Amino acid sequence: MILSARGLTARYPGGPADAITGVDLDLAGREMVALVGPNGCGKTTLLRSLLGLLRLRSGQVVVDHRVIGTWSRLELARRIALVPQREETPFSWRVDEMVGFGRYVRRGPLSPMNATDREAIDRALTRCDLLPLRARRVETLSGGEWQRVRVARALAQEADVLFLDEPTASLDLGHEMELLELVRRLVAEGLSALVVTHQLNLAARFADRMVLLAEGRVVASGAPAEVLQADQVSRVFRWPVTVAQSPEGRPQIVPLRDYS
Amino acid sequence: MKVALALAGLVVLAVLVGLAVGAVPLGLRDVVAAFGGAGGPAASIVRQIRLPRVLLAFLVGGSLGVCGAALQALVRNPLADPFLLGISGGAGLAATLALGLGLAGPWALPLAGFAGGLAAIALVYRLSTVAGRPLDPRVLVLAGVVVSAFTGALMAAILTLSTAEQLRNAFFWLLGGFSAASWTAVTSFALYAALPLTALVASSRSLDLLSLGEEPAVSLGLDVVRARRIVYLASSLLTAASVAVCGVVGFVGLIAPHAMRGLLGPAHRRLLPAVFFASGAFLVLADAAARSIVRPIELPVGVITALVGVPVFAGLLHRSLR
Repeated sequence: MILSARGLTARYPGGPADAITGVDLDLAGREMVALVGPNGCGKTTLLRSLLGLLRLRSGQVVVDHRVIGTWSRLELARRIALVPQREETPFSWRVDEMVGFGRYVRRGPLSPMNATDREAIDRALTRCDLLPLRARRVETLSGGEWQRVRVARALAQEADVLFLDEPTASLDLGHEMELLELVRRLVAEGLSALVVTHQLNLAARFADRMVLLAEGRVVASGAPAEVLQADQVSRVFRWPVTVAQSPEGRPQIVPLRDYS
Repeated sequence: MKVALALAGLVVLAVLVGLAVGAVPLGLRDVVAAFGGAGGPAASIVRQIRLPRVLLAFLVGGSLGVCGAALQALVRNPLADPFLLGISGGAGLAATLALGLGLAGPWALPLAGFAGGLAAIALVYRLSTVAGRPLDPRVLVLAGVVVSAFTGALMAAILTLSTAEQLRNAFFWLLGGFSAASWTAVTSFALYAALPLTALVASSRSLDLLSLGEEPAVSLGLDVVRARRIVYLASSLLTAASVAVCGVVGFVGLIAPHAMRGLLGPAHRRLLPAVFFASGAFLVLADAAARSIVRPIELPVGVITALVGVPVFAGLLHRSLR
């Protein structure tokens, strides 16, 4: 097990109640886990807790058999790379500079970029289909292109674990599929991925396991077919649904129309 | 490379102009002769009066530029100025107090200003910790505004109760200038500034990451709290010393960072050294203008930097938003 969280309970400073309560979560090598749930169910809080960004009220996160608090930021960034959901910068960075930030975790604070760094940047740009855009300024990119830049930056980090926070939020159908196929290929090559998303159907088609969160608690976890049961999903999302099947036999949620 | 050559040319030009102009205008030949060890009044003006003044303006200008660039990354706003965080308010209040109490001597105002700046740094830091973790950029800016407003009010109260003479002195001190420049001032400032300047340049990578925001910076391996602390302390301590030396000279910390980012891109490893030389040259030229426009009266150098700075800045802003 690369990452293992037990009994996570956390609250934002000044928050009225716990944002997550007693959450358990595991991530093994070469595995893609989707963290799903309705808006405000604690997905982002859980992600921040897993990265050690939030002080826990109880529970602990263990990465490679070491409690997360004992990792330095740099060590952790070599192990886990994050693709944030949104990001704004006041300065006009070039795409390849932005991707190059991923290399900061791989070289000493004062050493200049070397051939290995440049190769890693090129590889990441190629994988995310960004080579033609490498000299563009990030503020001139579309939302989807900017998203791919953040994925490329995480790839340049060459970590073994990828956290993706709502990675398909600003992508159209083609780019959405492309991105998740890319994540799937990376997992086949040996990475592990934790994807936070509210898109149940995409999660069901790509993830090995799903964790369904509601009101800060894990309601179900396991294979997509176990988690996406009609009654359970209806209850959590407060809307009647039925379950269909994708071409590869994964469950697909179809919300019912309200004809009343 | 082209930018480096242009900057070197700019620095040389600024220094020559700074040495030549003033109450007694000198020719280029006099300036060169003074360095050749010539005697006479022209040579001693250059060596004893103008050279320390030019060097001090250069060091202070370079420091303010680097502070501006660093703070802009820290608070993630390219319009941030070294005086945004309340240092000028603290220094101004302390200097006004010193004048009101009738403290005299050449070091009274600089020391009081420096002490006031330090007090403001500590207060802003403390206020920014109220929200939990220290130096959250949004809270930091608010803390700076609050401290500035408070010190401004106190200063207005003290000035109201002061004599016309004290009022005038305080006013001129705040507007800034290098008329008190001396070799002692140059050496003390250079020795003092070396450490914070080195710390900021060594933080180039942290500054790159801080400008991305907390979550990306952390996930790219940065200890954000530690990086913020170093950048805040180094730039504030440097700004406080600048105020002590020459009062509040605005816009120096804004123009060069903005212009250099346009030429070199935002990566701080290249940006900060370029900003240091460009800002230094700018302040030397501004000081030369302040000394020569209405000779023999000296305008406060802050007047020049603002008069030049505002249109230049508006132009840059216009271009960057287009």
